[in-house]
Amino acid sequence: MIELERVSHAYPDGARGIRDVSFALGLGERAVLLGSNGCGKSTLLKLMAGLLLPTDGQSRYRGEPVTAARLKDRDWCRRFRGDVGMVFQHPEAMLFNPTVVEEIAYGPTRLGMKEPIRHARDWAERVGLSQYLDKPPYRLSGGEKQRLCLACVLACQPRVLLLDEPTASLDPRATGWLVDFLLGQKNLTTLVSTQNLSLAAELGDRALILGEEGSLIFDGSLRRALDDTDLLWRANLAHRHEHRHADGTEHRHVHAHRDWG
Amino acid sequence: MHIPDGLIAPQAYLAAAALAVPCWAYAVRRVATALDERAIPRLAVLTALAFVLSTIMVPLPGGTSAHLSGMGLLVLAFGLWPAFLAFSLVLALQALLLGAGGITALPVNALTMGLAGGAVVVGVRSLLGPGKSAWAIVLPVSSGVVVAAVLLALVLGAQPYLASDAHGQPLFFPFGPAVTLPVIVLPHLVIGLLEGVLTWMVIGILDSRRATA
Amino acid sequence: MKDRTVLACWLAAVVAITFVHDPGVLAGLLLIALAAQGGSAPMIALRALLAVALVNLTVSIAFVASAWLSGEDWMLFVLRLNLRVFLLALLTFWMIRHVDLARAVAPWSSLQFLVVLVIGQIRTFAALLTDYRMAFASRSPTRPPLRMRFGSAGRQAAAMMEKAERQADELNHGMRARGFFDDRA
Repeated sequence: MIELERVSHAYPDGARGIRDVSFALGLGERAVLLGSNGCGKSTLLKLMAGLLLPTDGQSRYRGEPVTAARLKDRDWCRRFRGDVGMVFQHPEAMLFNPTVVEEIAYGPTRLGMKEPIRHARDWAERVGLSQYLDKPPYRLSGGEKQRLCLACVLACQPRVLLLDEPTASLDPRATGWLVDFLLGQKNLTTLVSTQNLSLAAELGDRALILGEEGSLIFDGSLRRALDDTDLLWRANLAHRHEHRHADGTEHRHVHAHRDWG
Repeated sequence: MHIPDGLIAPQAYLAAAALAVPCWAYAVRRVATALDERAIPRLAVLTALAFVLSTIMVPLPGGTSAHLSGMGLLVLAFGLWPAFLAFSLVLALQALLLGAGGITALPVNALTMGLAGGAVVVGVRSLLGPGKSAWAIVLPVSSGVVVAAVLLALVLGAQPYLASDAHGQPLFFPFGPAVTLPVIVLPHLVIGLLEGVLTWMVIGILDSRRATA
Repeated sequence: MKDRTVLACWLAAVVAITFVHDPGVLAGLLLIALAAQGGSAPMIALRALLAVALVNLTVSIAFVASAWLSGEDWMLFVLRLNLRVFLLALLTFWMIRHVDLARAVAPWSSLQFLVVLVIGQIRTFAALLTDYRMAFASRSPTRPPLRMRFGSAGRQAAAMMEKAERQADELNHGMRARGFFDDRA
């Protein structure tokens, strides 16, 4: 579905986003993008969504290169945007319609889907926002906005769903809801970025780990990644404890929080 | 300044509106051309920024405080036309969502504080050069605030001459420039200076953060 | 449609009232406006009064003083000023209660998006500003000196500016991700 080949991205001010990243996501794959703060997870997701273009390398969707010229082709761009949906970490970035129902209906309307309002009402119900249909999105709570963004993207029936730290500002109950909801989506390629190892095991089978310098330092089984303490330490996903015992001995161990409920 | 409806005569606010509309149209064209598709999100953020900047209280000696207008900062950071447009939108939202400031005062405030004041900032800055020394920023911003205050004082002071009844009594704001100029301009000499210093501080903080980022 | 109509009527009323100078007519219009608001009249009237009281009092007292000193009549002007300004404020707060601004500008889609975005973004910025203010207050067991308070105002403004840069880029990406710019030439 989505393929990155030796993709690098540097920002205009020279700050490095990611470097030399290569991987491919297939249909229906559930993957987790792990990495510490500032390692380039958001940058990578935006590259995959065609919102940023690589400074080196190439990004492809279903075999076709995603280039500036291709994105200027309205028909192709519309299909691409409908197929590849991204939910941002800060939902305010995605919300710009006057009411919840219009917000969800926006994408289906653009894509020419039949009965976009009915479709939007269905999705509002599925994400538990049907009582807020006529409310302005900016009046919703953080968790409600996150659910709204999810509904907006899924209402377009994407093939690929990219989520940028979706649980960062959610309480435990809302987090649980999100995990269950995502698990219930079938035939959808998902890539979820997170620093939360406890959740990672619930969200995918495959792990892509970015190192602090922005390169891909692991691509493989999530289980294997979570069991590799050295890898987690290198990726700044684990911390070290130092213990001094009563008898004066000291030891250190690397500790990664990866138990989930 | 939040001038409620009913203090400015139709002769003044309708004339101001007639002047302001083409200025807004021009500003929209300039912003849309400069920013292309990014115009809407950029303008939205800029307007929200202008709105919130105007709520920042600047402490004054004596325990009082004044509101930052933020116009000088916006003009220096984003340019005259985006700042003018954002400032005008802020005035509109304040009037239509909060009832702060009359809708009839909007074109007057937009032209005096937004456009004229902003143009003075740009003009004085271009005379002083692009440096970031205190005077290169304080002087343009202060000048903009003071010139805007003078213009506003003149507009308000003109009301008794523009509209009076058969007995010569004013129909709207009753005091002439002999009153409005000192009452409005004198405090704005201090406010303008403070706003200039604050703007210089803010630009300095932003520059130092960028340098260390 | 209703919001647009109400907004247009309100604007027409505001302009029209600035052409009315007879205090009797203004008083009559004020009574009609209060009666039309029914049960919400006291609340709206209070909001309107608070919005204009300071300006009206200042101008009225100054005019009374100058008229008294010059031996001129002041009653007519004071009545006219206060009735008109209060009436216009009353109508404005009534309009604010009944008009959804985003709906009112719906025929102009770009403007509607702009209004919705601005309101949403104001909340984001305002929340950050409140945090800064509270943080400063929490770290100041006694009232800080003027210089520090001034510096705090500067840091608040700088924080807003930095946030604006990031927000603009993020908003641009978020809207683009949803195809907002695809259909706009």
